[in-house]
Amino acid sequence: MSRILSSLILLLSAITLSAQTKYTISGYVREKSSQESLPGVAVVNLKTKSGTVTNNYGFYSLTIPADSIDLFVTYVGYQPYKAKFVLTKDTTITIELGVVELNTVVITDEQTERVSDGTQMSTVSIPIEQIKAIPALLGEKDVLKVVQLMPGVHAGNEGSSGFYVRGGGADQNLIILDDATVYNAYHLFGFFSVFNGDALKSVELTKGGFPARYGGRLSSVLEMQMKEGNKQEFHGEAGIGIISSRLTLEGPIIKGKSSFLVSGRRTYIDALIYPFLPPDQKFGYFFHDFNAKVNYDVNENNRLYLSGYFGKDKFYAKFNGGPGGASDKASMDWGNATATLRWNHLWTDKLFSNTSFIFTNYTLGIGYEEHYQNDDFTLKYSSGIRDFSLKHDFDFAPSPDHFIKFGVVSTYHRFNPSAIVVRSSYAPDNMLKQKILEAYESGIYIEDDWRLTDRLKINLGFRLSHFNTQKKHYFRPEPRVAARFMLDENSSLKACFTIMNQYLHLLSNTGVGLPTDLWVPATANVAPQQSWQVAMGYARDIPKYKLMVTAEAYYKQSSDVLGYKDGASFLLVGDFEEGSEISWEKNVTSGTGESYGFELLVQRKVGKFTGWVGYTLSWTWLQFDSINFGKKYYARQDRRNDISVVGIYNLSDNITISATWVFGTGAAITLPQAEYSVVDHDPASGQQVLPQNNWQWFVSDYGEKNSFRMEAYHRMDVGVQFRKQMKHWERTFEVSFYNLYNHKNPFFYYIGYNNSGTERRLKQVSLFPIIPSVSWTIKF
Amino acid sequence: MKKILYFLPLFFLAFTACEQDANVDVPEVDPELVINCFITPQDSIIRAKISLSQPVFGSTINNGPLTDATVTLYGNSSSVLLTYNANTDSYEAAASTFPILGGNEYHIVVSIPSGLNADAYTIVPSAPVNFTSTMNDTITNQDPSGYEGQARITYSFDDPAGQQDFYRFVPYHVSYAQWSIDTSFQRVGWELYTDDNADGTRISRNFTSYYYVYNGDSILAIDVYLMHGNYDYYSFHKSIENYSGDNPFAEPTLIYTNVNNGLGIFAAANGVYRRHWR
Repeated sequence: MSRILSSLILLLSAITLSAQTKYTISGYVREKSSQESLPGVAVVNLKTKSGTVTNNYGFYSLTIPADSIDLFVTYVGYQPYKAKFVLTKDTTITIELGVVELNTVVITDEQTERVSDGTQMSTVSIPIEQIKAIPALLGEKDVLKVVQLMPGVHAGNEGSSGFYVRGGGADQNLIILDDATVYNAYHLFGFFSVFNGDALKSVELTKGGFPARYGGRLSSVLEMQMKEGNKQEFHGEAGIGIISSRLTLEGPIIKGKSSFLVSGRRTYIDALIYPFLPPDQKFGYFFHDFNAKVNYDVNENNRLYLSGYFGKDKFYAKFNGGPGGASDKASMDWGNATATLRWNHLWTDKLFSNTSFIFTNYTLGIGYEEHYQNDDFTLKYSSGIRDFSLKHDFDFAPSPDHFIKFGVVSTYHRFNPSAIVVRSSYAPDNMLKQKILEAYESGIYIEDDWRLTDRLKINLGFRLSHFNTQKKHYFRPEPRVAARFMLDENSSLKACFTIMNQYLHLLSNTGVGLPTDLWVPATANVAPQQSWQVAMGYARDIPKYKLMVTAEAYYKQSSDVLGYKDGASFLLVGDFEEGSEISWEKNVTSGTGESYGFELLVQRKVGKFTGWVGYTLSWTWLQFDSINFGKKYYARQDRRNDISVVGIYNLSDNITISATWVFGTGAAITLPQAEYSVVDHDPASGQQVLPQNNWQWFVSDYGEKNSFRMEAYHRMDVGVQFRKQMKHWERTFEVSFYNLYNHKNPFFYYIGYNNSGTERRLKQVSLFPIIPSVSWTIKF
Repeated sequence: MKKILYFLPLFFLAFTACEQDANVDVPEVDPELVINCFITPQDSIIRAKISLSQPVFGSTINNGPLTDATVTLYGNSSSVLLTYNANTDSYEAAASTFPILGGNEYHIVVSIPSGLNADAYTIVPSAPVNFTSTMNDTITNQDPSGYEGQARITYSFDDPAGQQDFYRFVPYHVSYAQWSIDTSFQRVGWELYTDDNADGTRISRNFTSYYYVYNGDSILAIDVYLMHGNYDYYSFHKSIENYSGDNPFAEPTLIYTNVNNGLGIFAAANGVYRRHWR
């Protein structure tokens, strides 16, 4: 009898085990003082080692068996949250994390962020606080320049914010701010990025292993989230630097329910020099940008966010008082505007959705006016791109073993490659030329982060993308796979495979982010660019030293990448004096690209001493049938060795010192080696023995394309920040030196002469010598 | 206006830029022989220009025409020595003594007393067949000092099937000027194209040339040549057509060469010629 009974108990317990009741813990993770939601926060049940991370809106959902729970929530720079309780029902917990005060020893053995756990590889996230501590050119803190310090990423030119990821072109990076694509992310001809660190909450760069939710570019996704604004108290930050001033204000609209953030920045060199210019000759340059965001918690299950970015650069020149009252005026201005309206909705504690309506616009305008006696001439040139998108994303967390994301996005692109308006009193006909191109780009995706065993986790994803332009439809499937295998508690092996498609092309001659760079759609003649990438890596957390180490090798092959035919120039896609249009399709050619390399990153995000060391070894090739006579050649951005070292040290509560050092192999460029003259064939002179009618051409011999290497680039920047708590605010005074040891890095080469003018020499123009800068910031 | 645009990016650079000798090894190359020779079955004289290239870095050399080169053309199981003609600065031989034949391969060999030598091979294509052309000439505007007009040449020919073919269409204005006793020939551009997407078909094209004629002068005719060139002929002309010199905002153009041990071009074409009297 007792035997039967014990068998029954065994059986019952087995059933209860298999049909064990599960409950869901869900909620938001917020910053304690501001109530700002925190994305990317790890939420783990230490008991089962199962966990999740918060999404972009700070939401998490974890479904686990009813049992005692040891909940551990951590985020870089914040005090971890710990809670032990018994889970007996679905539970909503809003978790508030407090900022770690500087130099406070975090009382935990756990590392706050781990690289070995996730399936996602080839991703780096950079804390905004680190971005703000790293010394910058002229004191202008720049997100993109910090991104350039990561392995696998490098800058195009000296001082440029443009970046190249794993050998991809500068146009192959998807830069998104609050879901909106930013088409030209640069101010001042590429020297500064448009992103104002004061307004940003998070920055994450994905170089490979792209999750299925991302699409549209081949090489990287740089996703930035704007801060929401403090829901509890009014705060602000103001700064004065060498070239610009900035001001950020944030605070509650309805306490605890709704908040706003506005942040602006403007340069003032134009205002300073204006009074010193002669009255008949005025010129100047400025840029400004403005970020704004408001959000409203409608109720527990619904939230609304409205955010926008508006930025502009303008260069102008005016000349008056010429003979006969002649005057002329020229100007060039360009800028982005983005707006995003988002609605978060919690359907159940396992299903979260976000719906975004997104607008983005980039325009370049050139104006010229001439007045002489009674004649007037006016010319206006403009180009740009405008998008309207609708995006609907779902996060579904049915069990700790599955985290599913799915959604759909559709974008209407309106391209204006060139619009020209000419008014002239010589010719009564006003000229107006404009050709608008329209395109629709859509994607539907699903991905599942699936824990197969304690050691093995995979992320399976699939995206189907569609592009429609000029009656041509492109449907492209994009499978995405990533896997992680835990070797031991702190180390894992990872691998991933992705296919990406890019339906927009950037026409640019310099790759440095000039405002004239122009986005155009794939067409029936110019196919979308496509790439596949495979990467393998090793990730290790070293909790003892709070170090994260990743080593990755990758191989990427791209097809239908865009190249420019010899002699092609896209300074403007249209000769506005003639009113004619240059057919860009005839000036481009499609080819293949290949890049492979190895990246090592040792990073420390917490403690008194933070920073990272990155090393990249890479090769990048291109091959086009009509360039370099079909032979493959090194891309300009091919860079064999690249090293970056970043160190930030909190000397005391009030003093932070920081330094960066970068080294990179020189760019591959084409340099003339010799000159000679040739004539073309003149059929008439040969056949009829006429006087020769052929033309003489004085040409250069360049050897093979990009066969010359520029000098290796290296530079060190240092900075020190002094903070002081005043009565009503905290002030930070910063002194920094860009290019501390004054290394003259070449910006470009040209062929000049020696001092006596007898022999030609290769001359270099370098831009930035040692540049000291100071800035002063107050926070209240 | 365009100058202002070029100037814009330099505005910022002007404040900080600094110039100096580059701290990097420059490509050290020696002068090389430059061959410049086109052969066609129609030409009555075979002509080659020979010179030296001027290395960009290093001392200046004489890069004018060389007069002491030995230039030999091989082909037709024979060879001919081209001799220097100071009037044309070229090495020449009469085609009557050494015919250039469609389908044959030719080999040019050049050496100079300093020891440099270079050579190149090229194969002569067949002539375009069934070539027909017509001209439609209209005067579009007249003013007190003359008149302007346009001559539209429409032509067609059979493209050989199963191979890539290259064509160059070259029109000339044959004109008479009152101040001159000679008829003058002025080349008015050229058009280069391939038979891509039209292999083996009858290719039809047109070309419009615009002109202005002052009172007292006249344009007598439009001469047209359609050259069926080989790959060398096409690639070379394509690259010089693309050549944009030192425009810093344009991609540098690599000039096509098929010369071993040197630079320049040895290419062949086979053409047809028509005159359209006005």
